[in-house]
Amino acid sequence: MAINILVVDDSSVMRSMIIKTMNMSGLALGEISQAGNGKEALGLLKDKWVDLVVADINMPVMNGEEMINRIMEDPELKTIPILVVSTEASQARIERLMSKGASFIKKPFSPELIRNTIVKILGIEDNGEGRDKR
Amino acid sequence: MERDEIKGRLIEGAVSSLERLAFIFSYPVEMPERGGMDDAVKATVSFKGRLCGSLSIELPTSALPELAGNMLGLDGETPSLEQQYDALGETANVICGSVLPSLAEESAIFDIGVPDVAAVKNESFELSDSDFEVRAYLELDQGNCTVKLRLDDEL
Repeated sequence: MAINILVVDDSSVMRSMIIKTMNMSGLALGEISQAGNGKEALGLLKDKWVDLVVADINMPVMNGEEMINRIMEDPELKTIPILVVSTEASQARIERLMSKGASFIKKPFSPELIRNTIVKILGIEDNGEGRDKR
Repeated sequence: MERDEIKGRLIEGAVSSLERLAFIFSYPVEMPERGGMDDAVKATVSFKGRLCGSLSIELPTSALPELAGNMLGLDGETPSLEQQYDALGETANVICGSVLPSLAEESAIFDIGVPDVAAVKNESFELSDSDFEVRAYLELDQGNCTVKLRLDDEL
């Protein structure tokens, strides 16, 4: 089964880098949606089902941490896995995000790290085929 | 923390980030040569928290297509001006996220702002460092790059 992913970052270049990396990863990807901030992402999540949210932290309008809090509070969204890809410098904040169930990758990232982390988060077999376990 | 130590960490963060993010190789120089410089674009990110201030990176305008093109993996296609500015802003963001943890304790929390990117007439050549400002100069194939860290208070 193909994986639907929402990429949330205020930098269109960074969104493109993440999407390109995922396209090259061999993962079975479905629809990839994009949002420029947390508020926009929450709006998209009302209409689209995604298997994974990949999000930055420092964004205008609504930052990633507030977006994650809103997702966790929503019974329909709280099971969606979240991967934070950020320049976040604080170990304390990273631990806070991870305690909410999010995974974390620091920018700049390697394609292998993105791929391996998604495989681990989604519990998919490492053969390029997506498999929904939820 | 001594100025030279801060400068060393600034250089390390900038060189590493440019290389890992955009495959751009650079090496530090004490002072760029004067004259013949292109117009430049500067990206600045402010930060608050354990330390408050800003970090900026300034590149010649002519270096931006390669920076953005490498980040986007474009092959022979010229990135748009918007993509070029966005790429420089994200580079500033990544350098900031790399340098700040090396200047403060691990538990320190920072709020890093949204990058502000603007064209400048090459102001790198105002070479004096103020009390709470450290500048590092890098030489790239595409020209000189200035990275500046300004702190509201001394470390």
